[in-house]
Amino acid sequence: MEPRHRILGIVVLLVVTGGFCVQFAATDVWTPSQSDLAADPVAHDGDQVLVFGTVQSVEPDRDAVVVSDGTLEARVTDVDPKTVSGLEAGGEIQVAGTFHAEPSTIAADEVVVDIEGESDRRYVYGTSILGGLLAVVAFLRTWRIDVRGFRFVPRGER
Amino acid sequence: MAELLTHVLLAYAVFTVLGWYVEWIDDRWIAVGMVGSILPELNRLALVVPSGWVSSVLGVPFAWDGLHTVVGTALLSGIGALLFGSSTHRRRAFLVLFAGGLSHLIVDLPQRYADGKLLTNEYLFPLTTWRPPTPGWYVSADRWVLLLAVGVTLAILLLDRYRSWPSDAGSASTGTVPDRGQP
Repeated sequence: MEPRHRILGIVVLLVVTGGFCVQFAATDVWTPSQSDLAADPVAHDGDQVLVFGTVQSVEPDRDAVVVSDGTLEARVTDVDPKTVSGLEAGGEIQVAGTFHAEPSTIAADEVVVDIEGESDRRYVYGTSILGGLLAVVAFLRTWRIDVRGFRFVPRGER
Repeated sequence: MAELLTHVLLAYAVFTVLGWYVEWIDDRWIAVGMVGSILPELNRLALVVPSGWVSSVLGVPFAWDGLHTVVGTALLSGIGALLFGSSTHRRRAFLVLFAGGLSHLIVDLPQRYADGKLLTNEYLFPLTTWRPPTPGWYVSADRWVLLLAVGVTLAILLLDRYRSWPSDAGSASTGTVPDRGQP
């Protein structure tokens, strides 16, 4: 396969991949989705929801948290203070519960803390960057880039 | 998601073990598998170019999370495979990238979710909306996950060394043959 054919193949697959991401976003993988809730909160009053969001603030008694995903901002009530004892603004949580509109509120059945705050975030991003570097170094130690041939070649081979 | 270091280490371990049984899986292909284990995480491009921006530029809905799926991983593996010159390399690259990507999704699967169910509706999109219960073993910031991955990797690394000892010993003794002949 000549380089230009492979480049054409890559362009086609990139377009298909982009199309797939469009289809993924356009399909209701979640019912209701967070954008559904943000677009028409009243229509979803009383719905069971699962929401992923960034913590905007934790209320002083630690029984309520305000989360946002950029489109939907909601106050989460009925939170178990023990679950969120270490939670800071900027952390990331998931909430399962009952949605109420005006103002947007979720009465939580269950809260899961994914990232408590800055130190968790640094840990996850730091180790992830390290993982990415490890894979790239392992790859470039055994393969080299043949720019003119637009391909990877095993090191030690022409 | 678990952090990427866990994914890359576990891919290293998995492909090292596969290499014991599949003759062509050597260091080169283990490295390709490690790269494969990163592919689903390319949904993090959203941190650089938010899905909302892409959506407003294209004028249609768009979500990078489409990459964190079996189909998205297969498409990315196809793109990666086309960066290899020979047809044998392309075939192997696709298989290994895709298997590496699947290992990522499998490791991510049993995480804790607030409604107690797996995210199979996302990972298997558009095949099913089925969501069985999650065992809820971990969240991404749990430190023990990486410790376990490091432990598994070290154990496999040691076993791998142990497996290659007999042949090393053989070549070492061959190497000493001329010396033995000398007084």
